[in-house]
Amino acid sequence: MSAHDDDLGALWREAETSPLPSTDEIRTKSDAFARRIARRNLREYVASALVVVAFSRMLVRSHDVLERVGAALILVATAYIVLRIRRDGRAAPAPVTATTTAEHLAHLRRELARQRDLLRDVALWYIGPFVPGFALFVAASAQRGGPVTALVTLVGFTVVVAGVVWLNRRGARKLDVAIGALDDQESQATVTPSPPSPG
Amino acid sequence: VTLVEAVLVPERSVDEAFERIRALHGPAIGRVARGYEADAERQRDVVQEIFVAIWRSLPSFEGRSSERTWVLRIAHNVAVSHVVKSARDRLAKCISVEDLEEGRVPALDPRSSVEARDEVRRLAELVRALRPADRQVILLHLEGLGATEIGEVAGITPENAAVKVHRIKSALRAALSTKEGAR
Repeated sequence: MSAHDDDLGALWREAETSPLPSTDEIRTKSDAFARRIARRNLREYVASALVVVAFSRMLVRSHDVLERVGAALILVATAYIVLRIRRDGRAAPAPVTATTTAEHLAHLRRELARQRDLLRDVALWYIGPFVPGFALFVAASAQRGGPVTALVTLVGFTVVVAGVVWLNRRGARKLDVAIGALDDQESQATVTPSPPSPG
Repeated sequence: VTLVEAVLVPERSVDEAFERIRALHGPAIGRVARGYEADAERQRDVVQEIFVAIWRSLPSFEGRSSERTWVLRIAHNVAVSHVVKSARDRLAKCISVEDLEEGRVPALDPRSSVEARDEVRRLAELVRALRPADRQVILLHLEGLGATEIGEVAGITPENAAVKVHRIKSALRAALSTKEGAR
């Protein structure tokens, strides 16, 4: 079944292809990829540290009991979110070398489904944990500044939350289309998977 | 320096092994990229992604499959990832072998100007229109891999690979011979 003497094979190999990148370019790209991952991790830690510092300060210094309890709840929520993102939020690296393409596609499908679930349920796992703490802040602001201040804070929070949920759900729907396309292809495949080959 | 030697003595020659892979399999990698992307700029991106994946995977190569199979497996897996991540809208529009056999093929894309000859361009577009699993099988065949090697890369039995290649080739030939039909 060789294609070397095949008309289609000859036709296929006739077209020009992109110029090949140099080894130095590839080394630089590979290093840049590693640096990008390190920077992303650093950003996550710095953002979490800022939240922890700000609310710890409030927890210690505020004279308002509601605010202090609210700050404590926000800290707990932040810890939960950080752990959740570390556990579920990062894409598992695609095993491009040791897997067949059938397995690779299955991996990509799992990844898409995981990302979709995270986006779809963002109100539950990302916003939900902050609600109790924020509710106490609203109550504290009502006590201090009156109902109008509390209402403005509440409306602002609700608008931001609704926007975040809408954007994430839109992303989830796009992922659903891709997952559907992969499922459709899998269901119509007429092949039987064979055991993975060695790398 | 073979890839196996390079991995056994990594400090000596990963660079040399990579250079060798680049020279030996570079054109095939370029063609894999062409099989997944029409746009020249994006083809370059895919080629770079594939080479970066090869570079990063060199230390894990165990030499239990042939170098060509290993390289093409990485190339196709990276290219498939690229389609799933960057071109999801196109994924849903991919056609099946049955579509191809029954003449439900895409119109010629005037933007794909990489391939000079019309027939070459049409073949590339038909291949790119296929679903990733079918596309991979025919791309590997067009690179000269046999049914066993295709099965190793794609994760299907050699018998299935042979059947698929036969069907896709026949459908491609038919589609190419009725050029005007679908435009």
